[in-house]
Parts: sequence; C-alpha cells; structure tokens
Amino acid sequence: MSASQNIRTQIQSILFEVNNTMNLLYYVTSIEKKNNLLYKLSNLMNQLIALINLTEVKETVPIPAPTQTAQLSQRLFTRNDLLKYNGKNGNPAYVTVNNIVYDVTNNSAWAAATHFGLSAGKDYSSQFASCHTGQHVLERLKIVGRLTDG
Amino acid sequence: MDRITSCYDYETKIASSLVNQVKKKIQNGDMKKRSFVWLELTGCSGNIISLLDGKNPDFKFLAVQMVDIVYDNSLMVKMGESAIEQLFSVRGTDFILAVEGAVATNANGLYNVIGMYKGKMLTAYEAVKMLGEEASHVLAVGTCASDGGISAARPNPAGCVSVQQVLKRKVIKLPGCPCNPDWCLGTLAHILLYGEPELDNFDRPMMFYGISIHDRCPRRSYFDRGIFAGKLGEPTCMFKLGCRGPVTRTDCPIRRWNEYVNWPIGDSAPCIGCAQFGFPDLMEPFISFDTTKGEGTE
Repeated sequence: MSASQNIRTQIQSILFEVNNTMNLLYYVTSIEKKNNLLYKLSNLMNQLIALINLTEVKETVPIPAPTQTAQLSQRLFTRNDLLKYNGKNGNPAYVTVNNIVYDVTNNSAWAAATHFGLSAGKDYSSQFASCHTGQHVLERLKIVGRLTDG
Repeated sequence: MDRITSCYDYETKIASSLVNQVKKKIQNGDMKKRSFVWLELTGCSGNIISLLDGKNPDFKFLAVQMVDIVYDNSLMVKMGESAIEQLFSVRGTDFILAVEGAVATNANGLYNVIGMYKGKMLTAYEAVKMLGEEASHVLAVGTCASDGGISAARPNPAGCVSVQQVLKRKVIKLPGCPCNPDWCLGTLAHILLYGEPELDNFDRPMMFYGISIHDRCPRRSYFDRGIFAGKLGEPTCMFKLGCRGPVTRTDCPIRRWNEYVNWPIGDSAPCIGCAQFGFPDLMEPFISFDTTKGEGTE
C-alpha cells in the first residue's frame, strides 16, 4: 500500500468515526456524556488535520501504520515462551486471551506492563471474560501470534 | 433576583443568584437547612482533613450556609455518650449521611468501635447499618468507603468492605485517597439544590468522574508521540514508569489539589490511581524502573 493510499485509508476510518460520534450525539441525553463525545470529536478533527498536513510532505517520510491489523500473524507461542514477554528489561509486553497473543507494550491501560494487578506474559482469558465481556477491547489490540500448547 | 437576559449574564450571575435564592429561602423559613451526619469508620481521617481544605465552597460555607452538621466525631463539641446520643437523634428525621472509611466486619465489627451507646460498645458496622438504611442520601467519601481501599488491602485482617456491601440501598460513591473536597462538597451541593446528580455505572457522579485523567493530561501529546520519562522528575510522559492516569477517572488534571495548586503529574510523579476501584492492591506497583523502551503508542 503506498503512503498516500495509507493516509487515505486512515482519513476514511477517522471520518467514519466522526460520523458515528455525531450520530451518537443525537441520542445521548446527559451533558457530561455530550461533552465527552464533543471532546472525542475535537481529537478526531486534530488527527484529521495532522493527516492532511502529512499529504503535503514528501512520501519518503515514514507514516505510522493503521492501529488495527487485519491479518493474524502465524507466529506461535507456548505458555513458556510467553513468560519472557513480561515487559521488563526491554522485553515487549504480551498477553494472550482466547489463544490469540496481543502486544500491549504501548497500550495505555498497561502502564509498566501491569493492569489491575495482572503482569504481562500470561494467559488472562478468564480474567478478561469476567471483566470485559461485551466491550470492544480486543479489536483495538495489536496481534502478534497465537498460543499453542505444543 | 436579577433578570438573566444574555449569555454573559448567565455566566456571571447564575451562581450568585442561586446562592442568594438559597439564602433568602432559608431566611424566610421556606427552606430548612438539612441535617448532615459525617460518620468516620475504618479509615485514616484523610477525608475530613481534605474537606477542611475546601475552597469553593469552603468548610465555613458548608457548616454555616449549606447544612446543619449534627455529628462529626472530629469536629463536634460534644463528647462521649452525649455525642452518640446526638448522632442517634437524627433517626426518624430527614438527614444526609456521609461515610468515610471502610466497614470492618470481622469479630462482629469489633475491629472498629466508634463510641459507647447505652453502656455497650457501638461498632462501625452497627452504626452504618442503622443510619445508612434510613438516610435520604448516603455518600461514600473516599476510596475506603467506596471500595474498601487501603483498609481492605491484602491481607485485610479486619475484614473491611465497602459501605455499599453492607447496605441494601444505593450509595453514591466518591472515591479518592483522599476525596477532593470539591467532589464531596459539589455532590452535596447538587443534592441540596437539585437532588441526586447523574451517576455512572459505578454510582460515581458524572460531573467529577466522567472522564479519565489520561484524556485530560497536559502530557498527553508526549504519550501520543512515544516520548517517555525514564525516571522521576522528567517533564515527559510517565507511562513507562507505571502511571495509572489511563485507568483512573477523575478531573485531577483540571481541578488539581490544595486549592487548585498542583497534582502529582504536575510535580513529575506518576498517578497511582488512588481514586480507581482496586486501589491500592490492583494499582501496584506504583513505580517501575525496569520496563521496556517502546516506539510509538496506541
């Protein structure tokens, strides 16, 4: 995908989000929730402006990749392998939920590779189910492989 | 009351006109000051100290204009059994109850005795159960009352639990270690004027707990560009040091503390998530120096 196509895809996904957010504004009744949505809209607009400015720059400047990866990587991890990826001493922070391994190294909710008492490098399928069922959390995470019991 | 005819008038006159309305109503006897009970249970008294630090409104305004403080173990004049009698004088009347500190449940609640009543020890558990079910509104002030907090931290020998766990009725939760005086007094003011404020899924007022620290952090642009601090005292994002701003919902970046002077990030120390459920056990470690050096963020 060329750099300008990349930017176009990102702009399209941001416009999609802007549209959804504006639609939500009609249905939300509380002032605080409306303000949150308006704040989100202004952030999205800033991202759009940044992207549009990028189109004026030469194409040799590196463009950050879209945050959602569609392809499942073929890399396999055993539970033992995963323990190494605990986010300490320069190692990335990986966690696995339902046999898919995600990279949470730079995820804002995993500061210092810990999240509500859980340390990276392990299987948190049951904890995830008891807390985040129904929430669109996993779709935003970067996938780096699958868990295998081999 | 001044007529409000423009947006400018709205901004400048609404607060004073509301206060004047309240004053007039109290003077005419149309609006009685409501009774207010502050119970301190298994805690550190941090929330009453924080309350005394209030600025807008301040404690004097609370005590003189807003409510009739019937009982507060740290501030009232009466002592001993006569103080406890005054506490129970609100039973059967309309009163608002604020509770700070968790509720100790082990050994029949004897880990926390708050006074003597009719010759017997009155435990925190008994007091909150008796008064909590009868109050018009119950405010759980501070993280210990809202969720167990430090009083309920591992190994929790006193069997401390949150106030909601011992009461069947709804409890408005105002977590924070301590709770910022504005959150407590602002919620109380809203109750006095307009009734219960809008609450989120965890029964916290949306007006104070509606947005995360991360979304309002002045260092957010560093986070977004992946510029992280390696040690305390650096001016950049402290995500790699373990900042819990992203998982904590309060307005600390805007309102700040000690009459709006400063807050942890403003002094280059990370947020430890003191107002989020799970504090302190689930927010540990508060500081980490052995994490990864990443590139870019999400």
